[in-house]
Amino acid sequence: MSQPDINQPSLLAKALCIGFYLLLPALLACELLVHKHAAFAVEEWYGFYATYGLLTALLLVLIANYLLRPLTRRDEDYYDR
Amino acid sequence: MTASVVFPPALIFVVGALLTALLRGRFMKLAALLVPVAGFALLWSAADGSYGQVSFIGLDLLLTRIDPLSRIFGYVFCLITLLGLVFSLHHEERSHYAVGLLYAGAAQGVTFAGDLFSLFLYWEVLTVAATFLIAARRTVQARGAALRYLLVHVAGGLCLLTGILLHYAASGSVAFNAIDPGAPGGLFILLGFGLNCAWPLLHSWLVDAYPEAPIAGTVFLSAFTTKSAVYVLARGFAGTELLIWVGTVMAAFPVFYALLEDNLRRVLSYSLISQVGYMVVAIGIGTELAINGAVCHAYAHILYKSLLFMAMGAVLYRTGCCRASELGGLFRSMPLTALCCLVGSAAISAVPLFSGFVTKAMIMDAVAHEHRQLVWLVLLAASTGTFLYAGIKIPYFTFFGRDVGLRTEEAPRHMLLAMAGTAFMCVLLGVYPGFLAQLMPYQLPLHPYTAAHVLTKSQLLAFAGLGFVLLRRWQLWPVPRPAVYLDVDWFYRRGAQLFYRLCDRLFNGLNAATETFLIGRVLPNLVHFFEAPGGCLQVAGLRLLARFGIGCDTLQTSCDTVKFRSRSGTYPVGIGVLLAVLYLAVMSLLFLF
Repeated sequence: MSQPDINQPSLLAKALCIGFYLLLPALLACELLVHKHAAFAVEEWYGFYATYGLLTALLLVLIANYLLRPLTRRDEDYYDR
Repeated sequence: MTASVVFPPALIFVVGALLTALLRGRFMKLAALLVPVAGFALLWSAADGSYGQVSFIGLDLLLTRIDPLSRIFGYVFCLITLLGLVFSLHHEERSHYAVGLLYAGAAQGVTFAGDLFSLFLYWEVLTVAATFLIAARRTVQARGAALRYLLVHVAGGLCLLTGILLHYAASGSVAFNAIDPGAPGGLFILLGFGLNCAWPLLHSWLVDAYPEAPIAGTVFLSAFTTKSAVYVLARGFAGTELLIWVGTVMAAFPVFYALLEDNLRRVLSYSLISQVGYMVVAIGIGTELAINGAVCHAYAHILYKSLLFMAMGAVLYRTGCCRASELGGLFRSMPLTALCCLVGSAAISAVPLFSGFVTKAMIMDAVAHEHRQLVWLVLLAASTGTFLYAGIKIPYFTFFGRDVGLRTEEAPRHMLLAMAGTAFMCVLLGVYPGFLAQLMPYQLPLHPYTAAHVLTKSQLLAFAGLGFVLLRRWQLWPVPRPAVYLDVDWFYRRGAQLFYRLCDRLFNGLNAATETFLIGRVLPNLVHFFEAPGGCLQVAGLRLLARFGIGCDTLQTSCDTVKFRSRSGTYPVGIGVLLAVLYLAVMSLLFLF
C-alpha cells in the first residue's frame, strides 16, 4: 500500500477553504443589515472595506515584489565581503 | 492597601539581578521569577503619587512617580518579565537572568523616573544591558550586531543628554513633564527618544540586532526598549503634530520589507516597527482617546509580539532555523506552538475577540475623530499588510503550507507554559475589554464590539485573505529566499567599510611612501656618507669647483685620489695640521663671542 502524499490537502483543509469562500459573500450580504457610523464619506460606500482590503493586499505585495525587491535585494553574504 | 514607603520598582529588579548573580541552579531561577512578582506587588500596593524627592548635586530628583500612565506600563513590564523569564528557563547561565532583570529594571526605572536626570541614567543602563543580551548568542553576527546596537544607541543617548542639558540650562529644572519641542533642547530630547522608538531612518538597529539575539533575549528586547520610548513620548510630547507623520510613515514602510524578508524573526522585527508606528500616530494626535489608544495598544502589543517571538524562538530552538524558505508543515510536530502562534497572529491582525482588535480600534477612532483621512487610509492599508505578513505569512510558512519533512519534538514545557500564559492574556484583552478599561490613563467608555466595527474589520481581513489566495494562485507572492534586503544600516555598515578602506589606503600608503624614502633612499646615502665623511665632502667640493670650470680636466683623477686617501686614512700631515688649526680657530671664535 502506498503512503498518502503528505502535501495533499486534508479533508479539514478543504472544508476550511470552502468555508472561507462562503464567508466572503456572507460578509458582503451582512453589510446590507448593519448601519455603519461613518467618520469619512468613503466608509459609507457599499463594500468599501472589502474592496480596500483586497486592493491594498494586492498592491502592497506587488510593490514589495516588483519595486522594493529588485532595488534592495543583495546576496546573503553582502555585508561579510 | 497603601504602602507608606515606596521603593523605586527598578531597585527591586536591580537587587534581584544581583541576587541571581550570586545564586545557582534552581534557587537562581526561583529568585529571578520572584523579582517581577515582587515588583508587581509593590506597584499594586502603592497609591498614585510622588515618592522619594532627593536633592543631588543641586538637582531636584524625583525617584518614583506613580500615576495612571506610568502604572499601566509598570504592570505590563512586570507581566512580560515574568512570562519572558518562564520562557527562558532552559538557560543555565547566571548572566542571562542577571542581565535580563537589569534590563527589565532599567525599563521600570525609565517608566517611574520623575526627572530627566535619573531617566537618562536608566536609559543608558537599558542600552548596555540590551547590548549584552544581544551578544549573548555568541555568534560572530550577534557580536557585530550588538556592537552596532551599542554605537547607535550611544549616539542617541548623547543626543538625549545634549537635549537634557540645554533644557536644564534654559528652564532651570530637570522635572520630566510635557516638553515643548520648540524650546531649547526639546528637539534633541525628541530625537533621542525617537531613536529608541525606531523612527524611520533611525530604525535599522532594531531589524539588525533583534533577529541575531538569543531566542529568550529577543522576547525581552521586543518588550522594553521601544515601549519605554513610547511611554516617554506619551509623557513628554503628546500632541506634537510631527509625530503623526513620523508614525504614519513608520506604520507603512516596514510592511514592504516584512512581506519580502525570509528570516521570520526579522519579519517580526519590521512588524514591531510598524505596530509602534500606530502608537506614535496616536501620541501625535494627543487627545485623551488617542493616548488611551497608544497606551493600550502598547500593552496589547508587548504581549502579542512577545508571543510571536516566543513561538518563532521555540521553532528555532527545536529545528535550528527560522527561515520561511526552510520551514513548513511544522504543525504536525509542534501543534501547541502552532496554536499559540495562531493566537498571536490573530491578535496582531486585529481579528475580533483578540487583543489587537480592541486596541487598534481605539487608535483608528482617535484618527477618525480628528478627520485625518490620509493618515486613516494609510493605517488601514498597513493593517491589511500586517494581516498578510503576520497573520498569514508567519503561521502559514512555518506550520502549514508545504511540508519540508522536518520532524521534531514539541517545544519544552516551560516554553509552552509561557506561550500559553501570553496567549491567554491576548484572548483576555480581546474578550474582556473591561480589563484594559480599568487601567487606561483616562477613564473613557470603551465599546469596541459594535456590529459595524466587527463587520467592517472582518471584511477587511477576509478580503485581504482573498488577496493572498489570488496572489499565491497567480504566483505573484514573493517566493521566500535567503537574501539581504538593503536598509538604512547600509549607510553605516557599508560606510564604515568604505571609511576603513579609505584610512587603509591613506595611512598605510603614507607609511609605505615614508618607508621607501627614509629606509630606501635616505639611510643608504647617509651610510655611504659616513663611511668616509671627509672624502665625500672633498669630492663634492671638487665637483662644485668643476662646475665653475676649475680643474675640469683633472676631476676624475683628483676624485680617485681623494677616495683612495680617505679609505686608507693616508692624508698628508699638512692637511691634518691645517684642519686642526681651522678647528681650533673656529672654537676660539665661538668662545670669544
